[in-house]
Amino acid sequence: MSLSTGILRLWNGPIRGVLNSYAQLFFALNPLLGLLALGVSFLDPVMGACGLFSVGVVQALGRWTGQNKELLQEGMYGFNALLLGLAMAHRYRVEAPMLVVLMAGLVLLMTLIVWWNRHLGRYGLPYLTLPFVFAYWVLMEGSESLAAVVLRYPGMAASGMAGTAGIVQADLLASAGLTQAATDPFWKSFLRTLGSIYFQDSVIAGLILAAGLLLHSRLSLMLAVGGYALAFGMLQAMGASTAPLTDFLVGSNFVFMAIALGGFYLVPSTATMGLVAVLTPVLAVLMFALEGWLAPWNLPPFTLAFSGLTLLVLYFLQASPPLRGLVPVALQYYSPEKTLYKHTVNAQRLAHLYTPRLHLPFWGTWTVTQGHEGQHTHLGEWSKALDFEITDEDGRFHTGDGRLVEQYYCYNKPVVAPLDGTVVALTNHVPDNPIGAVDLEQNWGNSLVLHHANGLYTQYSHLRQDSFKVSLGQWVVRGQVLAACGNSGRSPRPHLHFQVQATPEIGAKTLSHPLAYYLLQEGEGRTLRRWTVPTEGQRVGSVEAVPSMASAFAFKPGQTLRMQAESSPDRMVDWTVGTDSYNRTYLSCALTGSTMWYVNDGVMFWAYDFEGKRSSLLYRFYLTVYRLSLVRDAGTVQDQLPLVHFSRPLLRALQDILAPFWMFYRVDYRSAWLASRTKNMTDEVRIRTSVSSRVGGRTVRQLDFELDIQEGSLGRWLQAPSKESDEAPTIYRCSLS
Amino acid sequence: MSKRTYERPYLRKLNAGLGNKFGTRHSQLPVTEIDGVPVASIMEEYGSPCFVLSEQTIRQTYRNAVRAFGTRYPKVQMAWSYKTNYLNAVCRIFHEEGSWAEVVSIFEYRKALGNGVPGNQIIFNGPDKSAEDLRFAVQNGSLIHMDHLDELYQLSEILATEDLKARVALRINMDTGVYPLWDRFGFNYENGSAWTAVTKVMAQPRMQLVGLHCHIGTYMLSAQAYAVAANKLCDLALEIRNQYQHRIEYLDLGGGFASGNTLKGSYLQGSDVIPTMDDYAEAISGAILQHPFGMSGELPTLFLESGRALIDDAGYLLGTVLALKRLGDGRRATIMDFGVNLLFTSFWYEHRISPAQDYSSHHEDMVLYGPLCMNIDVVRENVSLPLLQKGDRVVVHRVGAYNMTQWMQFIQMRPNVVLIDTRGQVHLIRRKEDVQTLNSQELIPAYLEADKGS
Repeated sequence: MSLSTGILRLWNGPIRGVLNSYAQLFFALNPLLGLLALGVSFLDPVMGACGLFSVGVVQALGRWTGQNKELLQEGMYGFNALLLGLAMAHRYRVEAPMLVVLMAGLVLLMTLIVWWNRHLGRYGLPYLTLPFVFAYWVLMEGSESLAAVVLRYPGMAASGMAGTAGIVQADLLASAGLTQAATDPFWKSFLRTLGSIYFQDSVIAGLILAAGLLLHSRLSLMLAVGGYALAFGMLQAMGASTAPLTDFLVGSNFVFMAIALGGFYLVPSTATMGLVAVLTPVLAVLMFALEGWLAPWNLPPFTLAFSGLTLLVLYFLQASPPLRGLVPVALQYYSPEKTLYKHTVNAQRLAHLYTPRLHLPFWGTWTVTQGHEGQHTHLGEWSKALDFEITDEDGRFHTGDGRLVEQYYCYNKPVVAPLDGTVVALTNHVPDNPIGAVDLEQNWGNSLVLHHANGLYTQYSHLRQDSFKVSLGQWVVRGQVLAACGNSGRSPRPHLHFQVQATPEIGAKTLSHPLAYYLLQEGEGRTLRRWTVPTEGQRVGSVEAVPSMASAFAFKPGQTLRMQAESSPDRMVDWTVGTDSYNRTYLSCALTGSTMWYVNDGVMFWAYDFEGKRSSLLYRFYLTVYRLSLVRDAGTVQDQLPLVHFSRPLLRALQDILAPFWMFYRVDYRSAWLASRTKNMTDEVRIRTSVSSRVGGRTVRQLDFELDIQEGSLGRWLQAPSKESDEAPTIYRCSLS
Repeated sequence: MSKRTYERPYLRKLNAGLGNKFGTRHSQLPVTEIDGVPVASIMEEYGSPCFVLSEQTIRQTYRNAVRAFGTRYPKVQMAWSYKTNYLNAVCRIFHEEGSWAEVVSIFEYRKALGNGVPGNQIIFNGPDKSAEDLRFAVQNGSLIHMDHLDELYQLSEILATEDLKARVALRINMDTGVYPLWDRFGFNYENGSAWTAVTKVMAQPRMQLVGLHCHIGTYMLSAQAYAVAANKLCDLALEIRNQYQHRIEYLDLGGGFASGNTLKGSYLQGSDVIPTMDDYAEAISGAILQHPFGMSGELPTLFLESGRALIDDAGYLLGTVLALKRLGDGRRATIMDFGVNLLFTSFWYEHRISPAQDYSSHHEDMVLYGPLCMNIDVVRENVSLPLLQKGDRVVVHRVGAYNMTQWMQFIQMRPNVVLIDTRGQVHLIRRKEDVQTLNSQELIPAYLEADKGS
């Protein structure tokens, strides 16, 4: 094992877990912030060492007892241990007996974490700093009668938070030109509070942490400052002293809650800011109450108020119908701005990625002759239905005089399954009506119901008698012919009645469920519509992926996608296709540790997330294939990229602070097929994509790519040089094996 | 008061037997305009005779066909049959509508390229493809439909020496229950030579067998024959899938769909007996969908090379009466300024002919002759028309297919061809020929160049 791989293993193993434990106190996964916090805790070396020791013990315990490795590495077990270690070292002299007690406390802490992680986890709730608070209480009471465990400062009150250093290094700050921070009561108080999280009563410590937080997340820092300012101002206005705020883990309650609810567990927005503002007085009252209740037992409440209130609010939000602006974070990125950028883009973009996708139940172009809430028969409980017929260029429904059902264009045309499912109801005993007559006795005529998913059924009615190609109980796949359009039941002229319903009976109450994709015909032009319901009068056609496109983007897990530079064929990168435990498909680059997640839904290819190095080739591939149409006639596909994936640092930092209120910086994505007239069999498709970041109307940065699909697989991939440079474009050859 | 039209006297045989079952009434109306453009004005500007094509009819017919097939089968691709009518303007209308090109000679192939069809959207059919032609088509990525084994061997040699790969299809002929059998093109299905050809192609590493093609006949009056043909092609495609794990991407059912013309010897009018596009579509797509190809994504694409049925109705021939005479047996004969030189299809169709001006209610049976000094120049052997005069104009219907490609420069020159666009504007799309046109191709040996009289 070489030195570098050894370091890499240490880094990926224990080191990252430890640093993350430090950063987790700011709801961050940032080694640099962790390192700074670690440094801060060592301002008092004994305490720092004790904290580090505790983190190490819990990490090791977790490893030995086979706890979730990912959580361990994210420091989810470690941050409570860190607090416990620091708090204990602050209260007791660090000696052998104390360490024995601490060890016992850490074992207890571990069991509490595992318990609450599982128990609260069931409700999707975090355990926050609860394990630390309870373990600390136990150790406090438990060591009362142990003479060998000696208080660090004899006579120290249980909740007395007299600082260790106790000195404000005003001179030092003044010499650094930061007199404002040293003298202004608010900033001094805020910085000390930050320091107090790691049990350091020092402005310097706070300053280091604030700098770390700034590097990690502008939005977090803003939330921390804002939340604290609210509390500070409120206490001042109410005539209370602001001094206790800087006590260990007192004022930090407000900092924690501001970050947690302002942007960590909820997607940051003006509403979450408002929520923090509303909850700040609640938190203050709760803090005072807890202090009062716990005083007789001599127990410090520490962050109990924050943990309790945050849990309560999160539970409340879960139990309430969705509230505007208060959107729970589904996928945690440990950075409020990243969460915000990805969420704003993905909320619309990916909302329906995993929901069942209904297509049109026929081939070719048909016309919607009665839409939802139609005036003829789509009334009341049956209002969310669609009637389809075929029309010619002149809008006529039939040839000749239209007195025979056979003259109608839609008559006897195949009706196909819009999605995989099982046939759960079928009637086939109603003869066709003559034109103009309706059969009110057998209202639905010959009908068929498909069961696609729990609570998702589709019904087809007025089918032609004896035209059924499937039988009851049969499993059908999308595009399979079910029956033929007819004129049975309440149908004066041949048409197809299509409805979505929640139950399997023929004629059940209808549901408004959109179609995943269809082509809308307007004059000569066609546009791809996604996730909408066609309206009356529209001419709509079903979409079919171009086979060569479909096969080019059908990556199979285990395959390797190789990129070979055309200029120097030795330069190549291999990406592996894989699926993770959540069935998400991805491409990953082992060399740079980068991953791109994607979905191919048969009509479009979506690259929906990227984590890793922006310098990697995979990142550029992610930009290229962010969203591609696999069907013809989709026109230009337009989308937006999360700002985190394509931005300049300084502009980004400014945008981060303003993000919940105003987005001035955005990244546009567009992709289009270059002119091609082929209908179904295509060998070569060239796709041009461009990614550009804009401020106002001005383009800040733009990248252009071209990707060729040749013989059903990815071929040439071109990256255009930037406009300013006169370099030649970079060309890669893709090959899948 | 204007001078009343002179009506010449005529004789009619007294019919004492049973009356015509269709009665004696002639409800034919004069055709004075095409797509709103007066016939007279076209002839005044472009002369007589003159071919007229209606863009509106072309597009309507095409869209009707696409609708008929597209609503019954998910993957349909039309390929315009160049030999039916390869006037560039006509081809471009079809290509604009989304049609590929189906060509049967390198001349047509180059025409298709000239019309902007990408090489990989050209189907190269026909028994005559030289080594040069094949090389060119393969380099362009076209689909090569092979007609015989000699072509296969020749292509194989070219691919090996040139280090090329080709996408090929095999043309299959078969018994569809319609006689005479068309077994001169491609490989026979029933006697096993089709399967032999398949095995030979599959053994070629440089050939990718992408399609199967058949063209069961022309002017097919039975849609059911196509169902038989589609069944046989599907069986073959599935057999290839089973034996070689190789998916056939497309089935090309060729063309041969009938237009509304009446065939000679047919008792009923053409439009009463010919199947509609919907009948053909129902037969073909119904047959393919019955085969276990799997999910819709794995269905083969259906290619159609229909020519006649898409263009015949859009073509008109305008002409003028040259003279009238009575034949030795007493029949009336009318001599027109167009004959079999322009109307090649009159050898097998009884073309519908309408006067282009008002006429009285009297009709007369007559022979229509063309202007050629040749005995075979008969346009209609017996047709009942109103009493025509010298100089009267007539419109011949449904002449869009084959006439503008099979016409002869014999005795007469080829006339103007005009296109009426969808807004009613008339465009000249092929200039009439003159002596210059012909002489430009001729060379005179030097010894005959000598001055006359010396």
